Amino acid sequence: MTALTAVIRGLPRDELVLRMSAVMLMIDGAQAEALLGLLTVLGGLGVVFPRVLRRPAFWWTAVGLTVVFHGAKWFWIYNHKILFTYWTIACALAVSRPMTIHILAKSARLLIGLTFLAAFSWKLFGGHFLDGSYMHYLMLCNQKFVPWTHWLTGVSMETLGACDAALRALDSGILAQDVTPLPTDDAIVNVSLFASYYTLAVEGGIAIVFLLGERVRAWWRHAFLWLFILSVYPIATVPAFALIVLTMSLADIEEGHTRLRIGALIMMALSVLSFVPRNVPRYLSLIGDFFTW
Amino acid sequence: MSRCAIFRGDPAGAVIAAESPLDWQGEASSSSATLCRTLSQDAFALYVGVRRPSALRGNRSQASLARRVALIPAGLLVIVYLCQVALTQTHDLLPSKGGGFGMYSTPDHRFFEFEVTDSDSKTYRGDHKSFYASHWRLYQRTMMMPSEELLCAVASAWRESTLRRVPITDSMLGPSAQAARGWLESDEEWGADLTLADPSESVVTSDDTHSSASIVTPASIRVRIWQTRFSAATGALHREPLGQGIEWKRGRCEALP
Repeated sequence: MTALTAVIRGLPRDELVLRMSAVMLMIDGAQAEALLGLLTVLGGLGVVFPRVLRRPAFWWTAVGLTVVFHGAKWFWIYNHKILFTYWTIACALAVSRPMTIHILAKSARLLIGLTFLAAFSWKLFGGHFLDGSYMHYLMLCNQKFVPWTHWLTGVSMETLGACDAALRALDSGILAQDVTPLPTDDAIVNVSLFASYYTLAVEGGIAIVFLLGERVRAWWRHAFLWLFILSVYPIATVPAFALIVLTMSLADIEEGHTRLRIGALIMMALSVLSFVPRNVPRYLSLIGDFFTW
Repeated sequence: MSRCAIFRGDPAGAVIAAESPLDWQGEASSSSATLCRTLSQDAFALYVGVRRPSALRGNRSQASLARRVALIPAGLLVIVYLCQVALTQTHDLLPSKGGGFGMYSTPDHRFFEFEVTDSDSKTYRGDHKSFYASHWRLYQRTMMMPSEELLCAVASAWRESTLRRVPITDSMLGPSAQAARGWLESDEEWGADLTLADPSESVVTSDDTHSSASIVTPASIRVRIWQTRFSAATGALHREPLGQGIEWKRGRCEALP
């Protein structure tokens, strides 16, 4: 463990960030299937031969490929893939200048801060969040949220099936009325209001501390970010977004802050492993199928 | 004459930025300019560098350049965000798409409604899932940001398919319609407020597994997209049309009034 800590402490910041970005390029850079193979090869090249990560051409190739493949389908691409494209641009610009780590760190703080500011502004001005409507809708209708609603409020899973049934009925045309009342109760109203304002507070907090940059202590920035990831992403399950934001945040952790650096790496590992519990039944079924066949 | 200053640097010796350029000043011989003494054993800690004033100015300008370079990706993010917000307001772009980070902020459930009228003036609902099965790219593209042109392209693609008339239960809508019906009917209290269509109602499908079903030749096709909203105040889902929709008739495609 001590040896591992020494290795983590000893890695130069820019090298760590560039290598982790290459790993992200491999595992989560592409949404279009045609791009997946290209980025896996490119990212793998960077992981195996880290010297190429210092070449602007490596990152500009990644930028070019993602812009061409994702740009053509921009209306379909996940936001975190677009965020990662901005980050590859930052990497390309940084390695082509002598102050690499300063450019990476500043870009990381700005990109994280602005991403959360954009998300915060959508919630603030989108018209469905402040009165708890959207969280209420998620708690009733989103299959990721429904088990949590059941656990937090005690409302039965049968009752919570109402929204899904109503959406299916509207979708299939057997229900054609403009207003469809849903079974709900006060506990859901209260939890959805709390969840709405909690999300707003943490997202707004992250935007502020990252945009203030070095005027705020690094611990504050990363504490806010980790709080958000630990409390929101297990429910909303967007580990890929968490991984990209955490990769960028490594650029903001100076070499002396070993505990922060270890913390960020542990958070990345947790984000990757967050897939596992949800998929255990599927894995078991796949293993069972394999041996049956 | 040279001046000494404390720099924060990387192990390769590249001076990143003068943290406090004149923290310590003194004269140094020119030969000492080549001797940067590490103050700490930590390879990433502070370095004492000896730089000529012109070099200090150079470092400051480099730091300033680094800050400006870092603004480029951030500026791109802001530009895309502003375009995305504008497109959601003017062209019905789905808030969760387009790089504006509007996911998990507004409901984004949308669905198609097809109405096919045959030469006998009978109107049937269309099975949009069968359309998705054969034209998923056009389906998704239209759903994300509908326009009159795309809706007309949808109507045109639908018209060019072989359309057959089948009961809703035999269509691709059948499984979800039946599941929804079963659930709605099992909850008497809630289901009492809802009016459900007859399950034997015929729909028009482009699913080619129904080769024996009668073919419908469309005289007109209406295509519309609906979206759902939820209001915490009423505790109800609200269905509302997204835009006007279009009607294809006699080879012409026009916006619905």
